[in-house]
Amino acid sequence: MRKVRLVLAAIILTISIVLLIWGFGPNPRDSRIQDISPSEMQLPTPISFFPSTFS
Amino acid sequence: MKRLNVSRRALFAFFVVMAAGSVSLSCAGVALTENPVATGAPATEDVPPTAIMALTNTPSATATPGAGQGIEVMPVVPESRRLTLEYPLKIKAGAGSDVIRLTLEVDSLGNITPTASIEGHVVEGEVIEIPNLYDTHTVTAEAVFDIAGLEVKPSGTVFQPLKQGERLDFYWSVSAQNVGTYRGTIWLYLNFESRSGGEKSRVAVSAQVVEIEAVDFFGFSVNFVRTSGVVGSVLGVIVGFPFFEDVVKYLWGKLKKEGQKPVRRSKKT
Repeated sequence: MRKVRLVLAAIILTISIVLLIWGFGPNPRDSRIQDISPSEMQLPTPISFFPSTFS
Repeated sequence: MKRLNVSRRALFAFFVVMAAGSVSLSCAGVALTENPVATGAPATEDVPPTAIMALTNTPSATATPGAGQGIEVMPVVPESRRLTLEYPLKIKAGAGSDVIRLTLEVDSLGNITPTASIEGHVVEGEVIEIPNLYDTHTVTAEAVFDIAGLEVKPSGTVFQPLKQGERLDFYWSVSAQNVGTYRGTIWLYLNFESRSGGEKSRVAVSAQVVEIEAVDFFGFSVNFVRTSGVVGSVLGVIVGFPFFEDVVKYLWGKLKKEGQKPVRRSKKT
């Protein structure tokens, strides 16, 4: 009886800790980095409509 | 025989007219190719490759045709920038919100120095002073997060003034009520308003597709899981409380034994 109670307590604690970790843990995140050259931030002029093969 | 003479004359006249027409057409074609500026056609055939490279490497320098007009240089942003997007891949449905961050920071390595210009068909090795766009225009960054199914705050368009050498941060708070995969797009535009004329223009800088998955715990809501975790922990402690003394004694004894082992070895030696 004593051993059963010990095992039961261990199971309850383990499950509870798993639930707590999932419930309060941070969400997985992703990060993207994109370089922007000055030519991509220029005023819209006819030369900016040139196909990208020129640059 | 008379009919034959008539047909021969007609054929001769036809060939003469055709020859005259073709000669006139070829002359017109030569005239067109020799003077492309007059017709507004781009003179790319006679420009050496280096000149094209110079033109494209300095996209702000636009050579205007015509004698005596010089070079009209459009103002540009004198810095490279780096756009960083940080977003959650998964969020918990029905729980609190998470944050999406879009940063437009200055890239210190990016500098451009124009060294050549085009005037007519001659490449000149002179340095052009490109006016700073921040001096001539008011630049405003515009960010939009378009996504269906998620609650996004602030919703709609967000504006922030863009100044030289300064970074920008856009933040959105997202939350989901239902489980599922949501796809959206984060747009970044730059708005230019001329300080002198008030002319407005807009350029799309970036459009990034974002996929966010809203999840739960095997069908259970996040609040249920959190509550169960707290209650289960308390219950586990209560159920296992009578054994804490045994557990502590067991651990203490084990630590004591490990501490005594090196002492025994030293006695033997």
